[in-house]
This record gives sequence, structure tokens and C-alpha cells, in this order.
Amino acid sequence: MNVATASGSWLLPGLPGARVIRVESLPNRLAGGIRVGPGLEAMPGSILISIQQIARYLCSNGVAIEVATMPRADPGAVETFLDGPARAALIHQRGELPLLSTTVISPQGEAVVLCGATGVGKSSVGAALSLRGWSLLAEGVTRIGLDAGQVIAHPSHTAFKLWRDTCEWLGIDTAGFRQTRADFDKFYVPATAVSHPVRVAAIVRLRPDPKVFGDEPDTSGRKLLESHSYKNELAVASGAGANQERVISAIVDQCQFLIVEGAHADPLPAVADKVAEAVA
Amino acid sequence: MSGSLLLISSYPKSGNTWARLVFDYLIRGGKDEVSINELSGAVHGRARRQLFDTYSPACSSDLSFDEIENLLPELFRSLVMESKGLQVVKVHECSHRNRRGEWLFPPECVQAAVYLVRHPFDVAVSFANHMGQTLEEIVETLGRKGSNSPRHPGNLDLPLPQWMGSWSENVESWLLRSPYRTAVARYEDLHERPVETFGRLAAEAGVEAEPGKVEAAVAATRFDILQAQEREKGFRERPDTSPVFFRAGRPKSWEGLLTDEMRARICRDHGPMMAQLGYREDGSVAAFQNSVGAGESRQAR
Repeated sequence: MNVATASGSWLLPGLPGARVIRVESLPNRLAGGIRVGPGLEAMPGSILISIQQIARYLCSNGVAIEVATMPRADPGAVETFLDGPARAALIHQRGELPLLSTTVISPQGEAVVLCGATGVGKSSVGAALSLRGWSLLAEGVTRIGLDAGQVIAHPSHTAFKLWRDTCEWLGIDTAGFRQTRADFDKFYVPATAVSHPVRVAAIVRLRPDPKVFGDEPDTSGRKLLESHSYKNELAVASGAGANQERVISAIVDQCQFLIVEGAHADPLPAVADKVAEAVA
Repeated sequence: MSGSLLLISSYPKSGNTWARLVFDYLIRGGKDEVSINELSGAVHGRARRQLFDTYSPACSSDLSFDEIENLLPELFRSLVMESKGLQVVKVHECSHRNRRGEWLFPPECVQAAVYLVRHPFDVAVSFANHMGQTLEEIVETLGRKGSNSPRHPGNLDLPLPQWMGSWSENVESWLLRSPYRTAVARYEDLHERPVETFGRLAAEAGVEAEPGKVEAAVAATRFDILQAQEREKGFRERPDTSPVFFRAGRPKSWEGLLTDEMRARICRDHGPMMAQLGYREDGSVAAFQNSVGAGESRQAR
């Protein structure tokens, strides 16, 4: 996922100029920081993420992540949290929006951002769409920003992260695919991917059966974006709230907000059909 | 710390939802009607995964079972810090510590636990209906030590995993090994003397109930009322495997369903704990002396 350089640091795909530096240790508290949640502290310019028994990540000014790995931590786990929470923290610091989502590119070339509750099947639906000609742009966390005032999603991934049973439902043979973590039955499933930023056409909320997930608040637009961005409180705590607010306002102004019902209940191809129809 | 937790604990199908409805009624001040789909405290299963992902720095789908359990105490601390008053929490797992040695529910966050038990014959029949499994399979489940243990990290289903243990393990963990002030009641006593028994539980758990409130809570949560609500609007906590959540709502629902062999197997697996609770091998229920472990409320932090 990360690209090693000759100096021993890493570049983060989708975040040009950002570097990942491995360090021996990091403090367990951020001096002067405020606690945003378990294992999460922030102050302007700095965000410290602690994942017990895996690693600590110190994210600085939107451009650098220092990583201190715990003894015996699974390298796959260290990479997983670098690509997820740590990358999202860096996006916050840049004043952009790290949306918990899978973003795919329609055959018409527009970015469609799939949002929804945890476990609703964002990656699975994205993978189902990729099997019918859509391309992958971002998986897990999508970096959404502005380019000359236009809302764009940045490319960051070339593989979906899918559990084995999802692969089986989709008819994907996992043989030879890398596991996301050493002891996980979850795989990086390569997909046709787009490597350039793409204008965001639609934010699609995958809504599950309320009898299974409970009633979800009927959020749309701004509230939906805030509730589905990675730890939204980080933007304000890290001093990037105003810039992020501009991104959110632009998304609300420029993008379609669509709801697709039946996620996690209907068969994946049926949900993929609904997404395709909704954005057509 | 601004809030605290009231754990309503039990092996599944032992009166947990009824007790949550009653305590929710008492704590929220008591509306005239209860709504099964507005019941708070289902920080359990799917809802716990959603809560976990709200608070955790990392998404549960990227964590192993042990890592999730290691983060849960801090998650519950955050929940308590951001809440006010007493939060009712549904619990089906054993009272246990995670791999870091911390209690899953930090004792400093817990006002009390209310633990409910039910004759395992009835539990078996009700649980089989709930899970959509055969009675043979459920009798096996009741006796399987460490059943539904989260120790295997192969996959993550939508609900977060829980270490429920065998029926005996579950009972023993709450009655003998939990660090909380624990009030215990049998389902059969709740059914026979609901006002008296819920009143005692509330007093032992430190939940204030104004005069008449327990009576009102019991009246508002009558089984036929809950059944009617489920028929009319469904119940969001009913799993897909179960045709109906509020099924029998009475003791001895096992009669005519459990075979002699099944009853013998349950007695073989759980005899000592059944005896301590007054659960006889013929399915009848003896007087309960409240003398098992935490049978009388206690503080042992």
C-alpha cells in the first residue's frame, strides 16, 4: 500500500508530499493535546493515534506520519491503521474531508461515494460494481477536497478489502490474494483502479433494513457528511475546522445526495443495480 | 464522571428484555406506555459494533476479537463520560476480563449489575426458537464451555462477538466472580411476584423507585402488551432467525418439547448450578435462598 523510498520513509498514495517515517517510540500522550476519544488526542498541527498492541501514529501538519510499532505487532495491522485512521487524520489536518466510504467511478467517469453504517457493505457493493465495469478510486477512507472550487475525490487504492464470504458471494477466488492481516480471513482484492482525481457526482447512502440495524436518523447533506467522516471532532481539534467547512459546503452545493435502501439485506447484485440506477 | 451503567445481565432468553423495560421505565421517570422499539440500552450485538466504531480510533472490521475486547473498557468509559444519569446496558456475556486483565465493564463505571437466571429447560426451548436451531443443537450450546467465544479471529460478523460461556459458566461468572454490586433474581420469581421481585432488585441495585412506580412499570410491561407491540410493529432486536421474540413469557414452556434425553443432558451439564438456584431436575422450582455468591447484593470492587 505504501511506497518505500530510498531514504527509508514511505509515501502515502493519494496524499502527495506526505511521508511516513518509522520511529523507535512515541509518547503515549500528546502534550497540550485534548482527548478526542479512546486512543485519540489532538491539538493544532498534531494528532496522536494509539492502537493498543499495534502502533502509535503521530500525524503532523497534514504532511507527515511518524509510526512507532509495538513489539510483535503484525505488520499487516500496522499498515491497516496507517492507511485508515492515520491517513484520515492527515486529511483532517489539510482541511479536507476523510469520508468513511468506498468510492467508485461510474462508466460515465464520475465519482460515486458509497457511505453507510459500519458493516452495511460499502466495500462489498463497490466490489460488485467493479465486476460490472466500474473502477475503484478509494477504499475505507476517501479524501475529498476542492480543486478550483470543484469537489474532487482523490485516488488512493487499487484493491478492495473483502472478507472471504463476500468474495465467495461475488464469485471471486481469493487464491494468491494478500491477507489484510496475518490472522484475518480478509483479503486485498485487486480491481481496475483510477489513478487521477475525479469530480464527485454523488454521495450514495446505503441504508440497511431498520429492523436489523435500528432506525437511522434521517440525515442528509451536511449531517450525513459530518456523521460519516472519520472522527469529525478532529477537524476542529486540529485547527482545520474552517477549511473543512468549505469542503462540506461545496459538497452540499455541488453533489447529489442519494439513498439506496435494502443494503445488507438484499443480494449484492441487487444493491449494485439500485446504485447504478440511482446515479444514472 | 457524569453517568454510570446499570448492567442488566443474563444468559439469553432469561427475562433480560423485560427487566430492561422495567428499569428503563423506572429510570426515565415512567411514561404510561412503553415502546419496545424505543428501549435504550441495547449496547449489544450490532448496536455495540456501531457504538464501538463511533468511539474507537480504529474500525472494528480491522481489529481482532481480542483487540476489540481490549478497547471496550475505554469505550464504556467514554460512553459514561458523555452521558448523564444511569444508562441501562444489556449484557449476555460472562462477567470477565479482557486479555489485558481489565474488566470489560470498568467497575468504576458500573453502579450495579442485575443478574437474571431462568430454569435451563425453559432457556433451551426459548433460545432454540430465538436462534432458529433445533433443541438438540441448543442443548449442546448451553453446555459448551466458552461457547461463542470471541477468541477466534477469522471473521467478524455484524454484531460484535461476545464470550457467553456455557449456561453454568455464565451464571457462575456473575454470581461468584464479578466485581460489581450484583442483584440476582430468578425469572420464575419475577413471573410469580413481579412487583415484589423487581422492587427488591431496584433497591439492591440502588435504583430509586417512587411509591407505585414499580407497580406501574410491571403493569406497563405485561407480556401481552409486549406481544401486541411486536405483532403490530415488529421488534428491532428480534434476530432474523426467530419468528417471534416475545414467545411464551411463562415458566415451564419446555413441557412437551424437551425429551427425557435432553433434560438428562442439561442436568448432567448443569446439575450443581441448577441445585444452587433451586432448579430441580423434574423442571420444578424450589424456594431460592439467595445464598449463591452474590445472591445478596454486595460491593466487591
